Amino acid sequence: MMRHVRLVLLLAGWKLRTLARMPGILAVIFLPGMVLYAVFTMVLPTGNAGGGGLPQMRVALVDEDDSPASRSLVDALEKMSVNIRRELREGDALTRETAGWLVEKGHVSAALVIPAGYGANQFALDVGGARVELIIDETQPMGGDIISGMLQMAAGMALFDMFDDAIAKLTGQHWLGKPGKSGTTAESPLASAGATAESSAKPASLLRVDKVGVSAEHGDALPPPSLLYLAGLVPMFLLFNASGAASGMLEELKLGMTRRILAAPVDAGHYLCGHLLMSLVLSLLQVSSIYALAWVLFKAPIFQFAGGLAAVTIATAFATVGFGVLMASVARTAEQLNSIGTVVILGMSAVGGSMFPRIFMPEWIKPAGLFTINAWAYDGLIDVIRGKGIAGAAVEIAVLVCVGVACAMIGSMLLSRRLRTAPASG
Amino acid sequence: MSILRVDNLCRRFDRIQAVDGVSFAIEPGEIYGLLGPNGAGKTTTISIIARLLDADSGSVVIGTGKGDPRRQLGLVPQEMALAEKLTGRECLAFTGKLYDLSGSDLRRRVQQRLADVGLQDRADDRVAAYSGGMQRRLNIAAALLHDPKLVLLDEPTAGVDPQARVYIFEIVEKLAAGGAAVLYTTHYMEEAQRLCHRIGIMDQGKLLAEGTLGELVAKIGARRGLCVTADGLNEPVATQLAASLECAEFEYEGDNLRMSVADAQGSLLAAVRSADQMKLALRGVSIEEPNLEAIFLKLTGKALRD
Repeated sequence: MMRHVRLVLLLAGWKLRTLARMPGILAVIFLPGMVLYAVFTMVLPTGNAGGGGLPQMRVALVDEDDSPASRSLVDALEKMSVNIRRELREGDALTRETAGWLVEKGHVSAALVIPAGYGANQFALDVGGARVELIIDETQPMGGDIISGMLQMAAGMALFDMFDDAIAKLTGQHWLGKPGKSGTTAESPLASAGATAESSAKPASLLRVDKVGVSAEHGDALPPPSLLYLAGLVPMFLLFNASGAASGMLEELKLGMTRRILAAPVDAGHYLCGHLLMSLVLSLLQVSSIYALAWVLFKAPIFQFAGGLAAVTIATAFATVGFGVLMASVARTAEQLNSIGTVVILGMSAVGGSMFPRIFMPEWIKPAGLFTINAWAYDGLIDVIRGKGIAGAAVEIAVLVCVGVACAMIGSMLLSRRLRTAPASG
Repeated sequence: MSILRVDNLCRRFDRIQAVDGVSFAIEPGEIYGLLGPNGAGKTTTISIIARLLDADSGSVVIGTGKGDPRRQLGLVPQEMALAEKLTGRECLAFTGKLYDLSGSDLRRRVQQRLADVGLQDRADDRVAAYSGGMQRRLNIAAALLHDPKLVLLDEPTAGVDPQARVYIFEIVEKLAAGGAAVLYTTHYMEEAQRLCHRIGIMDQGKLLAEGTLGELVAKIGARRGLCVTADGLNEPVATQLAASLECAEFEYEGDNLRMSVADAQGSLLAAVRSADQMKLALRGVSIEEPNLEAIFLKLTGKALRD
């Protein structure tokens, strides 16, 4: 037994030692992940990774006024793709308390309470205008700011609508143009003048928003960008790393190193376990460098979730390393593996949430992601980040470990067979 | 007692019979050459002996056949199987550890092998800085750390310059002199002729013939060649000279005439007399021993380099 362990450690150490003498390769392994993570986190706000628009926000609504003005405000919010929730369950309208509870549980980003009398005070500037109450998650202030800004826009749009309707009643024509999905219509004679005025004047607050902060449990709340992008990028770079390591193994085969090693009293199992161990260590070092960057540069609270993060990361690294061995067993050459690997990994990353957060994906595409390592890793990491701990990510961890074991076993069997049956030249 | 006994080895890859009923044995201190063109089945045979490949049928016995046979053999692969980023010393130390060597014993053996192949002064340089010939020598040293009884060298001189080739020949001869059995594959006839005590000629997976050079010559009935060089040699003169020696097989090019003869010694004297009678300005007469080229041609109907 000791000899087996010693040989596996020897082979893994030899590969790592050789790699340590290749600064160019090390840079390719470590830098892209760190750079891409830093760029994503600095440049793109939460949820803005894919389409360029704002993320779809979920807002609980308590409309105590139920006037044309309040309905107009809510319509305008919905036009901005805000997902409005009106009921706790079917037929059970939300109250101020139940809406606040939804925010606390992280089921919605915020709760909007439109008090009775909103419509009456809509243009009463002498008393400070209309007021609404916004219950927000104080641990996610950015979310509250976004919704607050959207409310101002919605109020403006509602106001705009009402003026236009009033003018239309008098003249029989919509002089200001009906603001639709694409904004001011081209037919409006005052549209261009309005646009000019908007751009030159500093916008004033149309709506008074009283914010009430509650501390949410982060059930389904959006994680901060510094953690959200970790969950997406870590699995993708682990896959690339495992694919690169597997490609190195095929290169060793081509260069005859494997023949020399296996001509010694070393079995294919020792060789493959050595490779798996080396690849696993390298993957964990690579991910650690990204985590360290997240902590140092973006103050990502990774130590708050250290246990869960470590568990999901190790499980993901194991799954990707096993997947790398499987890819090596299918590809004939390192060049072939690199080509196939890139396509497969990019495809998995696109569907699995590495390029566009799964949180924002349409529901119909989410199940497809479950056929990828990325999605399980992403879901596991998001669970951990939301404070659910190792237990909360247990299913994802178990699936990742099973995927790793299955891939490593099938890949090792195919590779062992190939090592003993591949034709030699000469 | 043989160190290696190969009996009726067969191996097929899809439609190609890579090794077809190969049998031979090697004694301690013997250099056995497997000679054949690329694709003859030499490397496949070596791979089966080294347990890197499974045979479809047949058997390989190394030494007494007891214990792990891999501990008794050292493989020098055709490829330069070295980590270029490591130093020569590190490469050897790694290989030694695969054979469970460690500590001062490993260090001593590494130093000894580096000295054996003349690399002690470059031991701590990275392999990438070595010349092709030096890498080949290190490749050999890596296979010898555990003092194997059987050394398998698969085309060890491929791509090296003549000087490095001679160095490698000396290493191989020293190995055999030390009692190791050497299986040496090559497609260079000169190497096989220069180094090997016995030669097996392979083509298309089959061992066509084996034995010492003399045995192979006798086996195929090859005749010695008599070479005559004279000024003004032309076809009628060459034909007349060959006829005077009762030689039917001859070829000439420029001033050189080559004839296959049964009695080389007698023919040499007769050729000098005939040339004198024909008033030829003789520049030289020599006897050519039959070589592997002729043997290979006779056995396969094609030249080795075809």
